[in-house]
Amino acid sequence: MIPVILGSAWITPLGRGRESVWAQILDGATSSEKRVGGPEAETVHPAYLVDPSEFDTTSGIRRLRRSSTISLLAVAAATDALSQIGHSVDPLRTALVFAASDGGVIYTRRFFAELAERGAGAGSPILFPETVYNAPVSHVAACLGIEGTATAIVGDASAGMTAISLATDLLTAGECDRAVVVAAEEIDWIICEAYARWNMTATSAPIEPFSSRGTIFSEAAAAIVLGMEGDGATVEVKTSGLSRSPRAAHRKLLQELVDEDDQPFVIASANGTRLDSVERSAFQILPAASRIVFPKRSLGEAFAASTLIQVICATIASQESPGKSVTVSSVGTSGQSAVATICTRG
Amino acid sequence: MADDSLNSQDPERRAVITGIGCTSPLGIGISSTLQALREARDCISPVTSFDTSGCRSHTAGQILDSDLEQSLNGVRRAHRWHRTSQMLFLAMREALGGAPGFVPDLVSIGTTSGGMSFGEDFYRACLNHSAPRFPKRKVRSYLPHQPILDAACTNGIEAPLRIFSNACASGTNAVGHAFQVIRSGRASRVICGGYDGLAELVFAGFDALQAATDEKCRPFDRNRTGLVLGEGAAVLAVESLASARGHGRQVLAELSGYGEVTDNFHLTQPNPDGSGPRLAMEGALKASRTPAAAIDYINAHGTATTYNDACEGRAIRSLCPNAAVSSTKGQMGHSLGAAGAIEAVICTLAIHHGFLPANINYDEGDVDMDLDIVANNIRPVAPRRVLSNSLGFGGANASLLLTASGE
Repeated sequence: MIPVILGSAWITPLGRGRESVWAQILDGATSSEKRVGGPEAETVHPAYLVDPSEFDTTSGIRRLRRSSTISLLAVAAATDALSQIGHSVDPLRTALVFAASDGGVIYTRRFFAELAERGAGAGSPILFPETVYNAPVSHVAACLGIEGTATAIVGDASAGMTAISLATDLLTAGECDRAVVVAAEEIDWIICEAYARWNMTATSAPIEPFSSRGTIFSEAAAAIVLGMEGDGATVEVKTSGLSRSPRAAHRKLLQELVDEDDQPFVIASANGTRLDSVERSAFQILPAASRIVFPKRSLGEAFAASTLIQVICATIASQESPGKSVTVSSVGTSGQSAVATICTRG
Repeated sequence: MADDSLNSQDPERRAVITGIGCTSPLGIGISSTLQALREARDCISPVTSFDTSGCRSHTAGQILDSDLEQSLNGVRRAHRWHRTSQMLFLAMREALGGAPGFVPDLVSIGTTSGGMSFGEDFYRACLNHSAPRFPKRKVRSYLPHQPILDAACTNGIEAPLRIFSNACASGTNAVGHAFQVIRSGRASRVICGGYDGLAELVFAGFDALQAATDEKCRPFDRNRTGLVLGEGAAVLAVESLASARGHGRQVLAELSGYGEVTDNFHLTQPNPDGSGPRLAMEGALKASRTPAAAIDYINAHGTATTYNDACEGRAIRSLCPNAAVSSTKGQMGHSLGAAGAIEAVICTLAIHHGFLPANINYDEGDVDMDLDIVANNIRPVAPRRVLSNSLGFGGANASLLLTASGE
């Protein structure tokens, strides 16, 4: 049984408009580069940030008054996605699956900074609860009135695909009638510094896929609403699992699709780091007529949120060409990769 | 009767536990864990790995690094792993050892903080301007998937991975997910569990919330003053009954139900009316059409905070007033993302070996909370239907139903 995408929304450094962001991605536009660095940072790092005006719809929500950016982004994206199906939420029959990679890093770093500076008793009780990975999904559930399954999935970029797989399982098992899959990521200098140590951070724009030049980390959020019935694009995820040979595993996933399509349209996850070697190797099997789009070149790397953004890109592309499948390729730091096939019925 | 309805179910859709492994303050390995449970041993000790002088609490349930090192003797590269990788590896190896030939379709693990202590070390390195020399493997090991990769890959597992992070309910969520995918036919074999390591940030966090105690952890006691943190890892090999039969593996217990609900009352406090845990337990019972009156024993979340125990106690009293109840957190502390998985292992041991675990440090019951607490010593009663509860920040409420196998 394959679920249908009933609604979708994103909040990106290039804005919130569905068609406008997609057009900018196709045009190769680049987000506005900001510089992120704290007093403890060795260097200042480039980052793509979301303009706060893009999620000011969350201002005035009492539950969110002390929340970090990641929660505000998640609530705004989920609310937008649901608005496309008329905000119909059955509290116990609507599941919520949230995906993140680094989570609430801003408050985590701020809380630990207090400990490091002033000792173990100095931590703020206001900051600590917002550091847990499921704080954003808790806020989304509270704002939307969801009382059944509301769960957080964590991991690398492929966590976005894992979240869709989990939502599919819940729908298939009859545990829910609708599933809202939302992913969000925020930026803090500590994350940029850590990934720089891991040789993944670029010193400046642009992001060049397959260059190993490094990537630019970004804030973003995206949400899709899934159901087993309705008009919309179908989405089917296949995951490679934990593999000692990620290149071979990813190639195998793509091969199954290429065999059936002589003009594949692929939304790639290449982000300018050495991880791109997995996709570069796998894409060698694609025919010359293939079309490949790299959203992270425009929007930066926001891990699980980026993966959902890729899915929405594929959804828009498939709606422009009914009956033709669009493939999403996702590769993360864990060696687990995934592909999703999105298709709008002709 | 519930047992008859279970026996009539498709063996491809019944989820049974055929392997368990545990690394916790109770001991490394099932044998040590069982011994500590039988003795109702208090395994809490003073924290020495970081400075707690500014905190109210100074104790935790801890696993000695020397014990980990000894148990990992001969495991290549394990000395370079984060402690949580080491704990999880040992638990996973033991669970797989108890279920020979187990090849999972899925890995489902819960955690709250991954390799947090490496993140703390990195921040301090930034303060000291030594970040450029900070080991890259430690940066990588901060991420929640790395300990699972270390454990799974070293144990030869290549199945897809799902990591649940819903605070203190994470471990139960992960085990419950194994039940869900087997019940729905989406998988036949799942390695599931949870892990978390003691970390300064988390320790200070619970202290900042005034949730931690400066004395003993006293679940459900009238004079309880808060929780004691812990650490550990537990893994269960869960498969369909058909798969277990086909491979000749011994069934230790059955996962018969799972319920999860979200309580939107507050980010850190449960709705005092007990509706969250009650609905989760009802969900678990509904999955197997088991009447609440049939429950013999409940392994409670029981953190010994004022709010949690009052809320959960109210829920238990209203739904299963005749069930025996204990929280094992008095013995080993609250291991957060590992707790639900460790407690699922404890419930499996209780069913398989025929005893009810003790709720230690219990002197007097709370006002208006008339529960049958298994006070201070184990009870030599063989439970057949057991609920295991976990309640987490963000309103995460989860409950597992474990039953004695009819096989």
